[in-house]
Amino acid sequence: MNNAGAIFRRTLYDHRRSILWWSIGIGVLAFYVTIVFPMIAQFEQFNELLESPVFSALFGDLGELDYTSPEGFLGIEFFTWAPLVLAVFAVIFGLGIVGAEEDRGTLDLLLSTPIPRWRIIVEKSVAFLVALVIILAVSGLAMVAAVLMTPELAGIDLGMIAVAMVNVIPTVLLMMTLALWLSTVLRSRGQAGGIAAGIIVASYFINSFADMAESGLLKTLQNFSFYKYYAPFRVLLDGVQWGNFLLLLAIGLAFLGLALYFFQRRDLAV
Amino acid sequence: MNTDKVVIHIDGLTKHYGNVQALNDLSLDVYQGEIFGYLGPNGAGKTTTIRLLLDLIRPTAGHATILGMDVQRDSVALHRHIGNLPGELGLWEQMTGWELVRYLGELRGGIDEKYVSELAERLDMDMNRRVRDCSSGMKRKIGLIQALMHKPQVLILDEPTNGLDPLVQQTFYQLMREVTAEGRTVFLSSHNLREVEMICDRVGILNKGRLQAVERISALKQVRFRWMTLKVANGADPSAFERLEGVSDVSRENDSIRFRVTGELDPVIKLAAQYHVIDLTYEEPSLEEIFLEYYGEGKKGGQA
Ligand SMILES: Nc1ncnc2c1ncn2[C@@H]1O[C@H](COP(=O)(O)OP(=O)(O)O)[C@@H](O)[C@H]1O
Ligand SMILES: [Mg+2]
Repeated sequence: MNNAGAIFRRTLYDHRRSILWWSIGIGVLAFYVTIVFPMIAQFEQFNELLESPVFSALFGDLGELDYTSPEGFLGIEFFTWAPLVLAVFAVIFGLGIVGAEEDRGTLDLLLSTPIPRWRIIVEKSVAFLVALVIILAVSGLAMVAAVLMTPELAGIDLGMIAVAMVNVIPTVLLMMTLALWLSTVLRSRGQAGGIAAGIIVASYFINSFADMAESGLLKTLQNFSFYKYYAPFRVLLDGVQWGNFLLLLAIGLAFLGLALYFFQRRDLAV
Repeated sequence: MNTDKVVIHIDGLTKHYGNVQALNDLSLDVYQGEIFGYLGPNGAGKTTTIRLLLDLIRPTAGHATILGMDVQRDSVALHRHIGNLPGELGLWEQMTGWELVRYLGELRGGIDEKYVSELAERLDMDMNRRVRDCSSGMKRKIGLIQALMHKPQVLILDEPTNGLDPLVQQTFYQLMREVTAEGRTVFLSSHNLREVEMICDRVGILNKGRLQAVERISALKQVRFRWMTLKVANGADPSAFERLEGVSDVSRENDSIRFRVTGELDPVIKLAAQYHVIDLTYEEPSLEEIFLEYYGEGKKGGQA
């Protein structure tokens, strides 16, 4: 396979601008959220606010977590939101892996060369992973910079920021492979994107609502929400929960496997 | 053309889309070193056949081999030896011509840039231009260059001259002759009779997903008949011509009479000499008419 990596390199190159802008965007978010912490922390009543049902509905039950601790604040304000924002990047990327080539008619040319179909999906998925790591690395650096500039945050373990960023990867990867799989099954990219976005948003809210509920249907449903396993609130304190991390990774890879299976078998559209 | 060596072997290939029978039980052999013309009107199933051969779509029934390799099972290895020009050509708009052929070249494990330059020069194509700034004719040229650049054993081209200006078409025909002179094989689809007649060794006629006929162009041309129109002062008597050996389908319009001639011309000329001939036109029949003649499906007179 002396042509290995050609599609991977091309994909990263073609996404260079989008990677740049997403890095800047998420990086600024990370920096901003961190730097405003001292201002927020002055308001002790925030912790009371957190007890209110409305807040729980949005963010879920925080348990023992103290919102006015830097770790708690970042866990909620950055690490809860980051995957939801990155979902846009992930879904668009996933839909594009075969869908964009198929719509433009370039898939016929690509697959007339001596490369098997799976190579397109695998090389582009690896390119996505690299793009995601770049974006998260920039965000991590932005957060570290903000921490170093803020005396009130001196207690934060910088290494834990890196760990928390790594913890984001399986969740966003899963979002991408979900969209990718749906795009290989459904012929319409719009439909695949809509369903993927619906599943992601529903997962988020089911998880938040279920945190409020004591028992019953919501609690059962929550088990199917991947957000339950992402659980970012305490990541800066406790680090990665490996069971959940590996579970999310396995589900993401399962979607990838389904995408490979369906794409291998089906007719390509003209 | 080497009829001992079958390069493309198609056996019972069938493709249905729901109720649409895009291709029905196609069996066909294409030989080494020939230019095979795959002729049919729009919607006949030409593109379907080609995309089946490239494993871009999967057959409902039947199978095919190219160079002895199964088009589905051995597709990856086989594609090294195939150059493909899609009918609906999609290119990466953001790339320049060079970037595009280098990308595809990389996927093929290397590219002969000197040969690409030579092809670009012969087709009068500026490869530094971005695809999005190219006319449809220029895009077809990029498509042709990427199909030819690795000197494949088999070229599969879907309506290759569609959108090419006449001068470039001539260059294309020349390129195809060079390809077959090297013992390589060309399978091209077309809806243009003249083109197929001009450059192909054999032709297959496809209609509504069914192969109607496969013949050598030269054999067809031996079914020689032509249309003759005589313009005669004061008019001529059609029945005199009708009685001649080899003349048929006589019709008359004002001062002109028109008929079909098969075999020797001499009796017709001798008879015509008795009239005051103002004008004489003499037309080769179309491929379609020759086919009808060849397969004896009746002789429909009229427009050539
Ligand atoms: N993906 C598809 N779904 C349904 N019908 C199709 C599809 N592709 C082709 N067809 C139909 O199959 C027939 C043959 O099409 P095609 O092979 O493109 O013809 P040609 O290339 O000779 O113009 C047409 O009737 C076309 O509408
Ligand atoms: Mg076609």
